[in-house]
Amino acid sequence: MMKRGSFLRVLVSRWTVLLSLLLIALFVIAAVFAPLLMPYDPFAMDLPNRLAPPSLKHLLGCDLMGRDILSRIIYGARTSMMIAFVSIIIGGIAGILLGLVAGYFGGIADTFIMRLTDAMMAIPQIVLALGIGVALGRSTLNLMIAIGVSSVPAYIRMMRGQTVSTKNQMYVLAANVIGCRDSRVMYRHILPNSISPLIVTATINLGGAIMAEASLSYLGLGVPPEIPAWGTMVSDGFQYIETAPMLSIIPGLCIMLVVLAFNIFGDGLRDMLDPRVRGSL
Amino acid sequence: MTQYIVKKLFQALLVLLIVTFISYLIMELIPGDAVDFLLGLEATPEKAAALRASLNLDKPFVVRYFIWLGGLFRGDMGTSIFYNDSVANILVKKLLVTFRMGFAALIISTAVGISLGVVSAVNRGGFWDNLISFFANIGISIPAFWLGILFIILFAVKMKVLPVQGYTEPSADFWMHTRQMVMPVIVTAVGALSSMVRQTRSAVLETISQDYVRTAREKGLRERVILMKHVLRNALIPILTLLGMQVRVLFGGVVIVENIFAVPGMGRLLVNSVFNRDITVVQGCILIMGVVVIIANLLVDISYGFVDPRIREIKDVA
Amino acid sequence: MDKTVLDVKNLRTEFRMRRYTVYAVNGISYDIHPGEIVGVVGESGCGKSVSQMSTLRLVPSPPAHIEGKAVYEGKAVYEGKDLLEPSNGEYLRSVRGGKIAMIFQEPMTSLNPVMKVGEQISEAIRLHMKLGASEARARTIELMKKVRIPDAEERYDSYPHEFSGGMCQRLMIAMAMSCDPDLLIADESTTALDVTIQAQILEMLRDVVRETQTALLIVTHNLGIVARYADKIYVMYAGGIVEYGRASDIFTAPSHAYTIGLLNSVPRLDDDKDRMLMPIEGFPPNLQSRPTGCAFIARCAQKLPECESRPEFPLRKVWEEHYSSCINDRLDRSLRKSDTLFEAKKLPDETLLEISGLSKEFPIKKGILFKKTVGNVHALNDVSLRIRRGETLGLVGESGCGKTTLARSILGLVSPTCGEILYQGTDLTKLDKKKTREMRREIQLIFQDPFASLDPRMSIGGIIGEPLVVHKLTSGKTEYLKRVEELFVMVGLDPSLRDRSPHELSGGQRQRVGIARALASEPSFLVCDEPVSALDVSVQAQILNLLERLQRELGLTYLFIAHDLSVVRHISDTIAVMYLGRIVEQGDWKTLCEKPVHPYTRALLSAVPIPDPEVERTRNIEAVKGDVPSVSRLPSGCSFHPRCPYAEAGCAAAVPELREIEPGHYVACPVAEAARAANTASGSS
Repeated sequence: MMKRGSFLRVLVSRWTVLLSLLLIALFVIAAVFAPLLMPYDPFAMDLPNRLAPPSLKHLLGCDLMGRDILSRIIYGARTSMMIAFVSIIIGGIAGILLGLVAGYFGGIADTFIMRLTDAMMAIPQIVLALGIGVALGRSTLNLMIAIGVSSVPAYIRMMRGQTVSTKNQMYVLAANVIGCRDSRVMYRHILPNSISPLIVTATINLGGAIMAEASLSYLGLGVPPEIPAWGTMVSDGFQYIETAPMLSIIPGLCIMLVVLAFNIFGDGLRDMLDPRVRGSL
Repeated sequence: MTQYIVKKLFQALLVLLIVTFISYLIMELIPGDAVDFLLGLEATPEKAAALRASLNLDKPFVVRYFIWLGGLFRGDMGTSIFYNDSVANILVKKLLVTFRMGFAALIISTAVGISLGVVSAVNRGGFWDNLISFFANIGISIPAFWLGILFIILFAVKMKVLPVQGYTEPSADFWMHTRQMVMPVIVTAVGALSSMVRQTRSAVLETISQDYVRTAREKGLRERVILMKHVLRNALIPILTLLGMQVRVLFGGVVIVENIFAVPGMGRLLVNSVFNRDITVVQGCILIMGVVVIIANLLVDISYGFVDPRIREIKDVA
Repeated sequence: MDKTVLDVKNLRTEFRMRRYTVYAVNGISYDIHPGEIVGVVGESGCGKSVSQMSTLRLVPSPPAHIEGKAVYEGKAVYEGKDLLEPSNGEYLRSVRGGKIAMIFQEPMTSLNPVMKVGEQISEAIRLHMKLGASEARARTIELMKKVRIPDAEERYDSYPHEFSGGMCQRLMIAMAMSCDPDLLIADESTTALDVTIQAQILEMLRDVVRETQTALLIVTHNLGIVARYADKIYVMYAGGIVEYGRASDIFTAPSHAYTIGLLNSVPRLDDDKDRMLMPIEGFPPNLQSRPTGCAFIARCAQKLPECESRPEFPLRKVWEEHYSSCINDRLDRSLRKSDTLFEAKKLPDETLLEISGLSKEFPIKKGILFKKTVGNVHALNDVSLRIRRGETLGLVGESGCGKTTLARSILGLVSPTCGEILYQGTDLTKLDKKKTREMRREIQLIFQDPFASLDPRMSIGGIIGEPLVVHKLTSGKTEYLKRVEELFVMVGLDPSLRDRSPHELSGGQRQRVGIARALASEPSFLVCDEPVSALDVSVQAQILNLLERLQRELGLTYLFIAHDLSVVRHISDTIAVMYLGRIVEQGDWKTLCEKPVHPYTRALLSAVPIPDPEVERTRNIEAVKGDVPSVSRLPSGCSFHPRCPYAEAGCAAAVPELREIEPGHYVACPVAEAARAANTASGSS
């Protein structure tokens, strides 16, 4: 995959990449161990503590129902991360397979897949996700499918491009010459040689998926309203921006930090996989 | 060149056809149909069947699609059950609002994005590059709705220099219109602007390393001349590609921004119609957005031909 | 001594990367005088190009593509001003393009694709000669005519992609000559071109500089080119100049072990057939540490005991104007003849592969909705060949002549339009997909670019062993590993390299991997498609010797495809010459190289320079005119007639038949055949 040591080298040489990785790790840990980390039940209402400011008891204060914001942020991390990872897996696998088929076989399959991709690319991703989400009905699983499917065309385009350029490499011809079947050529030679930019894109898209989920939740069309999610929290706090702006600011900041971390980490990964840049690190 | 344009035009029409199909398919999948909604409690099997037949809902899916498509060709996008008006009528009004806002955002993000990207690339590794790249990274990561709220808190609530939200027709009060649109336009533009900066920067850097730039240097040209005459025109091709995609991104941004700032455009209409289960309107919105994006991409494809002489002649050697 | 144009003193270029430094050029000094043609020769990575670009400060610094720094110490003095002095930046820009011009290796990528070529040339004229737009245009057209671009007026407004590689290089020359420079640097400027075009361009370049008294510096790896054109030669190795002197002295009395090694490793067109190539073993140092002592010592076959301990090897005078850094005074310069191992082949008269009437057309399709076939690319036209078991058939031709299509047809990668390919009686064109795959155990291919043809994500062991897995040739892991190790040893690779990836190997090692992979399924027939053209000359010899050894040991049959006639001549028993999809002449190597009949064969032979100035002086170069026509618009009749110096009216009418003019010698040119017959008649009477 990549040369041993280059991973560490990039981390050490770029503090931003290291920082973004730490940030991602922090949010992933929060997501995985949410039940252990949450100081309060994120669903428990405590009306006397309505809109309580940050204190030692409630580090980030309470929302309009008196629920502990820190607990809800941690639970929100779980919601975001789960949706992001699952949707990227759905979208990535479907996109890579379709792109590989389109690029390798060409012809009718290629035309069909690519025109479909063009059509999906003509509709804004959030609108597409919204449409699919509405069509499937509102649930967390359907939201993951919606975000996943809406990201498919980008993967198809990229994988197809990669496959076409890899297919014309001499080593693929060489594999044909020694007698490899199509399936072996695709699996052993084309896939491993075209996948690295897709891994980079998938990393960056993790941020994109979080953004999409948060945007939909903000609009009230994301996860079901009873589940704590950052987008919903920003939206709920909107009515109180004059009195309690932190209600919106804190969850929004979390979204930005995670997305930023995935973007920077993805860029770092790209440089690491690019042999032209690698030498200089 | 003509052949190239005709080919692209044909492709765009084909894609448009698929877009109509997708938007039809999505809405078709929604469980429950208009009959349940229209009849409500008065539903009896007979009444429902009669209404179904009158709405063509008893026909197979493909037939219904073509009936709907035929309507589209006549400009009939259906009737909104919520507004009780033709979808085409509703969309035309809303599209104008969205279009003005989106166009302003497109101009700002492209002009500022390309300039900053070039500055960044030319000063690679320097202070300005680091500063611009840092903000570009933030810009692509910041959620539009959150940025909108920050703006409202800062400029409307704290500084009180701009109105919080709302929309006034420019014909009614142009100054108010402008003041109200400042925040929505900027918030919409930020994401597109940041990706333009990044794309321009990498396109310029990629071009600078090409052999023909070395040739230009070898000729004894000044760096400024090399940048203007040799680098920028070649770097324009990847920039144009992104420009085509920006329209799609901006539409996505508009959907959110219109909802934050209560701008009565297509984005707000779309979200409201989803809540109202006003399927024909949702369909119409998706379709119109698709059409605009396809036209934008077509224009980009055609302008490739002007920038790059190699694209002007299409060679199809199988 | 008269005045110097450029005087470079103690030039050093280092690429300072974050983790390591590449010492690319290490203190070289050279000078060049008006009207002089100087050759700088060396293998890839010896610093010959970097040093030229450094004098004009064209090495990226501050880094554009390569991260790091190029640091110059020393002086490049022009008109008494130092070009490397940072404060002379403005002056340097006026020198670049104006006084010193450079022509690069890749003509296609060196021109701006979105700018009209005429404007690219006139740009420099307007800048340096301060001419107005219309005057600059006129001068540009004049220059384009001078470099023999047809229809120069109309072509002024064309874009680079509308020109062939050779034409682009002419444009680059026109651009370089545009401001009457004092010095022209041609950096590998004909390497990417076909031999006949290369000869045309170099002849033209020489004529132009001779006429204008411009100094010309040719940077190349090709010893033949410097022998043919240079007055003075600098030999570079590992970032330093190891020997320099007058061209005739360098070739008659090479005084550095490396120069001798180079000369002994290249096959020559005037060789004895039984001459043995003597490769330089090993590969050049990677220059990541500052070279101390003699950089060549690790590969030197003639080193002395004191070579190891000496810290410095300054250039010392060995003769009048001839300097070398080698301290061995008794260098062995003799060429070696083949020993018993390479005794003459005894070929059985058994046909292994027979191609008859093979044609391949690629349709050109046009149209928006429904693609119509509007023309055909005739890649192969009625090609017939017979290859006997155990022989090497050399196939020569320039790019686009169809030699690769022929190779791919044999391997079943391209399906021919008509004709048959009989391999031991089986028609390969009629096999289905599965049978073709099975047939690939028998027939294998060796690629031109050893790096591109190895999967970068696989280990060397995995690459070599893949055919064993694909064809299920071994049972069990131990047998597999044993066989892979055998293959490593067979091609002279260390089996401990098994787990390395391709990019960790040198070019020669990679080509060995490619050969081992081809041999894994124990084929009897190998198609070698330009197997050595991407390699440095010293490594070329290693691979050629390996191929010859393997042929004897394993009884292999080769179809050896190449554009370099001296290489083909060295290795082949029979040679076929192709031009635009047809075989124009075929015969045994001796007849074909010594008594060629077809005008194209003669042009090819005379275009190949021989690394010996003495021989070159007496040779008469039969240059052909014009470019190779596009295969989609073949000239009528004999495809060669538009470029042929002997063309007659009838040549455009009918396609000449390939006729046997004496046993085993086939020629497709009635004109030359008649002339030959007349000659023999007059000779005998």
